[in-house]
Amino acid sequence: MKFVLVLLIMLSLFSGVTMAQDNGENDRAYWVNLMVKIVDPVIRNLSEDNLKNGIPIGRSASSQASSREFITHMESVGRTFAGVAPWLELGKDQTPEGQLRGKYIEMSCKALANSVNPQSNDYFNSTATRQILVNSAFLIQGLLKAPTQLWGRLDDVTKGRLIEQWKSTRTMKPGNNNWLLFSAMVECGIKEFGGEWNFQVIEHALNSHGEWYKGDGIYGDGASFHLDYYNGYVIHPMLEQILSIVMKHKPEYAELHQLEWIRLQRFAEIQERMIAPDGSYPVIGRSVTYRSAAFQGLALAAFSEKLPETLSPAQVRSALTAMLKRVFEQPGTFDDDGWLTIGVGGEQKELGDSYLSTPCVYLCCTVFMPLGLPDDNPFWSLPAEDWTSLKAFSGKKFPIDKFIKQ
Amino acid sequence: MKVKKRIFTGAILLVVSLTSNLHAQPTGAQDRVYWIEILTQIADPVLVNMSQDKLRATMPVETLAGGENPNNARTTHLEALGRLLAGMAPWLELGPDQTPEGKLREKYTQLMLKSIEHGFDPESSDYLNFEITRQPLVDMAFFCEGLLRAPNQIWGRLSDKTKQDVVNAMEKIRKIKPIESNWLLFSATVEAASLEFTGEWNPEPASYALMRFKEWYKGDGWYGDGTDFHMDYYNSYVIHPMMMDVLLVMQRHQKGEKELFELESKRFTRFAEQQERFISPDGSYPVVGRSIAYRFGAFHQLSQASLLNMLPTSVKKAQVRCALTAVIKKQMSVEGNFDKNGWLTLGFCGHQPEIAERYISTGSLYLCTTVFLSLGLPETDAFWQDPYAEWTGKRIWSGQPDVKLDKAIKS
Repeated sequence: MKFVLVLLIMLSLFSGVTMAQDNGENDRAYWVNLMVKIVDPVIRNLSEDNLKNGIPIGRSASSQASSREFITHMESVGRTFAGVAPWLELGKDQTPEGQLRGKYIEMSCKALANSVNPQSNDYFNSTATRQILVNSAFLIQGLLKAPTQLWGRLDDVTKGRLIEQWKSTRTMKPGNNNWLLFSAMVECGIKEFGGEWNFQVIEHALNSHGEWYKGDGIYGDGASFHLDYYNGYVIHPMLEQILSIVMKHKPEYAELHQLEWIRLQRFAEIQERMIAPDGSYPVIGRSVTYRSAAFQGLALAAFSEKLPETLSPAQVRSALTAMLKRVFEQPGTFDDDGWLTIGVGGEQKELGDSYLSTPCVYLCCTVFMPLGLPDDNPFWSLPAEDWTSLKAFSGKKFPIDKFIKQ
Repeated sequence: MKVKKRIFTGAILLVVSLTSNLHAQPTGAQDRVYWIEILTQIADPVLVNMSQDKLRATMPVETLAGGENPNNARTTHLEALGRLLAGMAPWLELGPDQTPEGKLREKYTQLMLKSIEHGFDPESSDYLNFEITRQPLVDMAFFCEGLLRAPNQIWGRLSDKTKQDVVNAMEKIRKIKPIESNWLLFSATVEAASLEFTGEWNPEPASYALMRFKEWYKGDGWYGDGTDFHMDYYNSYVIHPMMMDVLLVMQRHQKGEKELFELESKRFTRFAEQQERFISPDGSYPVVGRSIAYRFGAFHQLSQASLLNMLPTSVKKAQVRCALTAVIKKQMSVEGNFDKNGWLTLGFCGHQPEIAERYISTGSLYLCTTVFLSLGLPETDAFWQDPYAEWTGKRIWSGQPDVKLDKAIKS
């Protein structure tokens, strides 16, 4: 037993040393394996109508709310699909990875059907918590990124039920902060998949975030700035996606979408510089137990093939891979049944916020968005490259950093 | 089997060496010796030369653009002196005593007094420029901040003539109009020093700066640099430290802004909490924003919060000492930070001139010494007495189960 432990310590040390040298192929395999390891318990159990029974709903010491325990299993679902959808959208093919995708596409369709089937045990049967609004927004975020392989493969009954569920959230008043984007995202989903929307909700969210912009690629979460990762967890990714839907129907919003990309690119630059030479990053602000979701802004820019000129796809892949290893190889990150725990460096219960239950931590999946780029994309095919902090702290040449004025 | 055994032995050795490292962590006294060693190493070329009235003759003026006589040559010498004093002052203010460190302090106090004498005497070769370009406002402000941090050992020990020379320089500086940004605090700091040392000041630049910064506050301990937020270290290089120093003088002289002082104290403490969390387990930190050639000067504010006993309750003094020591060691561990004569080079970690903005030259780099403010705490202080403690980043990333949640402030 001790021997195994020692071996594990050694292996983790060695993997830390070698991480910058891995080529893209190895990195992709690592990402796929890790993502599947994380999402499998959620998708598999929901597809077998066993999620509510299976998923731990434990909370941190600081937890106040226990009123939603009967429904909190739901909170893992939207977040999982927000992250896994781009990969699934690549579809099934004859490669081992393509076969794996085929398997999860099938499982996902069953899972989503169960989530809205009143007869199933896992049915999201409540309007009693506003978390259904949050979950719907994340789920729509994913479905919009997999219109063919996920939405396109759902049966009509399930589609209808999903849209009904999203409409039921219209009575829920969002918090006057990043939550406005949840309501706006739901309207985008209803529009794209159901044909109508309440545009005022979207307009209000866009206007508010316009006012709350602080400068240099950073929005306030509400009127005030907060030093945390909400610009990555929610604000930039949702804002960009909402605007990309809106401009399809209202071309006058193209300019705002362009402005958002200037800010998002700057934000991606900042994010890349937050990843330390050892793959760690400052654990700061609330909701840190969303772990790798902190870097969703950077992941989105890479997935959209819109990284700023200052960043090469290879250095972003190397930085994110180092971060993933640093985070998910911590002992205690997964429980004995393979579910994620609350924490950043393994299980650290006190890092759970009062509003947080275990299923929420599946937001970490959103960082896997670049797996939606095929394996011959430069993001995956280029050889490994040092990221900024690794260059900077080893005395190598690295680029100067510049703020933006927009 | 043989391989297994070899791996096993290797692993044991590794674990042993890891645990023995843990026990071999330096004491606070050892860290203090290391800090003083680095601080004096950085200070030496500036003070040794300027105390002999030959700073201009010896100091290189490295800039990104290069060239024999760059524009910055007119301002870089005041930058070197002002910034070095801002960082070194609290340590010097502890005064001389019979310990080896106390004697060393006296040596550097003498060098500093002599350097100031030359820098402000219009007749000396090293007489500084207080008039050409707007840059001298910046560095006179750092110089004044240094004086405020060593009222007895530096200001108090200057000759009457040199004191008058300094006051004359302040008069020249007052003609320079600050930019609508963190620069407003430079004018305010010069006035605060004037108030402290002459009893007279022009309150208008201070009240204007404070009015603007009230407007520019963004939330959670962060001010905009101007109307906009910038993701950089200016809240630490300049904004929090100077605002605090100005407000402290104003409180002492009962010049109002008590409410802002109380508010700023909360924001200041919150910002220090964030600074401590920025330091990764390996002593690195995000290389973000402009002016990163100030190296560990990025932690000016955290070191000042320790000096002023304004750390949050969630952060122990020893963990700040150990975090900052890790930062200093990380950046000093790379070759190239100094040229062959011991002057700082343009760079962040080693010699990396590409990261220098056009306003950066050799003298600017001495802002890095502001990380050493905590040396103003005597060696008997808990900051230096308490045993090694892991900082937050190290605790979280090594999987400690009892790490605590971070919370934004609302004020």
